[in-house]
Amino acid sequence: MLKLDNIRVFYHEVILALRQVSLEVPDGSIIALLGSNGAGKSTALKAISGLLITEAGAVSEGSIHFDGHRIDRMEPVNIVRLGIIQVMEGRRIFQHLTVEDNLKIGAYVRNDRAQIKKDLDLTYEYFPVLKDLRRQTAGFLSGGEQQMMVIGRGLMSRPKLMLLDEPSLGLAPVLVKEIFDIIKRINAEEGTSILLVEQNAKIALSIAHHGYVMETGRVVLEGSADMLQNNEDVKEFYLGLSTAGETKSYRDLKHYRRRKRWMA
Amino acid sequence: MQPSGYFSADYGKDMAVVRTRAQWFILIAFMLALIYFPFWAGAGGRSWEGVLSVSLAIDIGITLIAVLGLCIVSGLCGQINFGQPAFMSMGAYVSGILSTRWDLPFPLAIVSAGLLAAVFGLVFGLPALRLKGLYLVVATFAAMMIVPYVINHTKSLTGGSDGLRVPEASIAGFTFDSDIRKYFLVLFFAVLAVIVAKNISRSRVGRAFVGIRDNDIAAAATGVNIAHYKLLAFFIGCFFAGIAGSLWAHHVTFIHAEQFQIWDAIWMLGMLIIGGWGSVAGTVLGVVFLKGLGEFGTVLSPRIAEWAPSIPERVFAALTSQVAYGLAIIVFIMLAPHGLIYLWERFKVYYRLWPFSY
Amino acid sequence: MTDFLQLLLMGILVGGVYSQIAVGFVVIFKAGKTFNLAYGEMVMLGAYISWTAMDQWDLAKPVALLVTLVFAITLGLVVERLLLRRMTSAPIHTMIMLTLGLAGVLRGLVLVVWGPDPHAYPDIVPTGTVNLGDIMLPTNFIVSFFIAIAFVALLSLFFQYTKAGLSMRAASEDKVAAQSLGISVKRIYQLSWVTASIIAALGGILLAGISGVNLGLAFMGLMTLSVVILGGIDSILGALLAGILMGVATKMAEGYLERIESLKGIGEIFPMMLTLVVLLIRPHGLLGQKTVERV
Repeated sequence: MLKLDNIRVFYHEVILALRQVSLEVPDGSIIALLGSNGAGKSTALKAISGLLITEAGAVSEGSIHFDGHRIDRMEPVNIVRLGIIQVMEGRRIFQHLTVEDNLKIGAYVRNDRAQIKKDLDLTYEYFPVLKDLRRQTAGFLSGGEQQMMVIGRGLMSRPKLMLLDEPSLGLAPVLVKEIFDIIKRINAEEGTSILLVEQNAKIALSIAHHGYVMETGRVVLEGSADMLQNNEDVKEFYLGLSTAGETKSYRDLKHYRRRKRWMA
Repeated sequence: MQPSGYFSADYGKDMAVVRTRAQWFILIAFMLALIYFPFWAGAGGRSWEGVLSVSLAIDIGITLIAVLGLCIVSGLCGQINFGQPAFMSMGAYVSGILSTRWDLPFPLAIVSAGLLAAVFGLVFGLPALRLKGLYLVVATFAAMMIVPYVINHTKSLTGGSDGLRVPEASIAGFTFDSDIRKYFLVLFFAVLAVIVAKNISRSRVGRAFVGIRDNDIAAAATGVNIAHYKLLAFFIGCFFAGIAGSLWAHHVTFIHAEQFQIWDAIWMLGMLIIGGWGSVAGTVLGVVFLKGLGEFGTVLSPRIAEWAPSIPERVFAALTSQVAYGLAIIVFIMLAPHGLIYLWERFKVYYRLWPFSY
Repeated sequence: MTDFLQLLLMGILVGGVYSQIAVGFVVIFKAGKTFNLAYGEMVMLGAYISWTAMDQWDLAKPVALLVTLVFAITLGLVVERLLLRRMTSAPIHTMIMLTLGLAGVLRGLVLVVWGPDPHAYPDIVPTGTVNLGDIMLPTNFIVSFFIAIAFVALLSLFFQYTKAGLSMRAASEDKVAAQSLGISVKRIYQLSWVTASIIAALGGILLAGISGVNLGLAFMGLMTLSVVILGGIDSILGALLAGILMGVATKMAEGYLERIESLKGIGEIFPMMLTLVVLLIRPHGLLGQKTVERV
């Protein structure tokens, strides 16, 4: 189980990116982390995976615990060894390596050859497209295939917890649907916990058990996925739904006040 | 960061290089000091064994012109040029040959030296249209190998390995034959070079250069004609080198292919980096600083040799020449990777904001 | 004709050693997009250390080799730790200057410790010549060639099939993504510098076996740069090809062009000229990867 306790994150020791963020990812669950651009979702993921140091960021207050280990001061390498893998935003593939080499790199921290072989097959089972492309140079894959490959690559480390950063970025709706189905299957069949950062709140909440909403570096709302889906504010701000027929205007004070309450 | 209490009220003020009355004052005082310098230093120079001498100042001025050219090609436009001394030698030889064999007057010779070096720079700039990074470094480096070879193998024109004697510069009967006269000649060109370089760097052309340096594809996408500007950068940069070479030829009055070494190319880039990559003021700082340091080293090393005679001579020579310079470069880059000018800017921001740091 | 074949074969043999040395440069570049212009000096140091161990300290040859290796590994680690670790994201001109500074320091140290005089290198491989008809090939050239080529082959297998090799390639493409998968980038840099340092030392030994120990060995730095650029800076196969090509071209230039009076000394600048011409036609060298850039 992952637990963030009141963490505060600075970049370059001056830019405050997260303030007093707490969240929990129970074993075997899918948690969605929603919010608009710049809300601090990706920062939260990087704080967990330790990749903050690559961007001169650091957790200055609070703590992050995973399965009894305190991880907020750990090197990314050791965090991966504990079983947390981050699938980074924007499909960070190794474009000159073949698909299979890309997947094998995912198992870098493991040494059990036989099991790695099995997991490779398992990954191909989840993503049959990749099997046909295994000898291809990864740079030539389409966006959807690349996204599948990086998720598969993350899977190859046999993580207890996967941090997915915007898996739907720049993909066609039908592909997004497919990928989210697979994420759900991975969670159900492998028991991998998943912390999912998404702009596409609707699809994220459709597979998540629980969700958090972030604004300007804070968690402003949390609840079960059902609860969030039915929350008026979430509907309006993130799902783009509002009471039918009503025209919206900035003169609508009620709307303004509600938004303001969140941003403060 | 602007001086406190200064607000740009119109576009002209916003573009101004010299913004406040205090800055004008400093600038004029500095120019006066430069003019007074040769009379103060005199023939023998001042301070420790005459470190501060007129000939050092001439050397600095000539190097400054060449390095400003490099600042435009490499610092602003990002096309690393390892062949600046080669282009300088081109200028020196063109000027030398024109004034000895064809008796061309100095003003014509120096302008043709600049132009020919610039055209020649275009030839070596052509690869820059296709090459980037280390590939381009090697291509310009080839200039450093090929030019001395060509000079040494065209004896009838250049005098080959015997070198070439060059007369001192003279304009309308006035000959620049003493160090003080040469000093003012070089000062004139150096100040001109600084003004031109500064104005290029803040003009439309300069912005195009910086665009190419920082992201050439993005620059092309916003309508910058990359090929045109890259070649222009090489043209301007090598023009500066040609002018510097010509001044050098008329200053030392004897030129030889061996005078323009690979080591100079390295040193020139070092001046840019230590001063501040892409900044005209930084370039001035870097040139003055490194030249001064080098001069200081040459004066100091016999003293150290006297003080510790137990060090064998060859060990000492190796230490002072190669190890010391190598270490100096390493230490500077590690301590101030953005150059001296960056430290200065930081200091300015600090004192303007003091005591409230933000 | 005999002349031609003689030059060709000698060129290939020498070129093999060039290739082997150039590969070290490629390894560093592949791992961290850094490069080392002090590489020629590292080659030279390897030669001097092994010479000292064998000739001055009278160590047995395998022991001397071991001493050289230990020294090379230490040198690689020290340089990486002190200079390059903090410079991995530095702009290219900073890296150039930094490693050139290092080159000055190393060359100066060699001068301080060993002085400027050349030394004969003890025979580590059998001397003599192999005669193929009228063509005479020195045995040590042939042995050096095969050692060099075997080493390059081993290295490319390492990159293709081992976990460490694969992770080095991955890290060279995207450091952050590699870190997100548990690859320690620090370890990768160390590994690459140690590998390169070993390659350089071995190359130094092979070269010294051919031409003796002298300060001219640092010239290999320039040669390596030409070879690497000619082959494509991130391609091991390219370095192999370019090294041999360069060996042949240099020998041919020395053999034929230098006979013409007005072209004396062209052997020295020929590698550079060849590289320049190839670059104009193929801007990424013979086999270099085209960088795919997105804005």
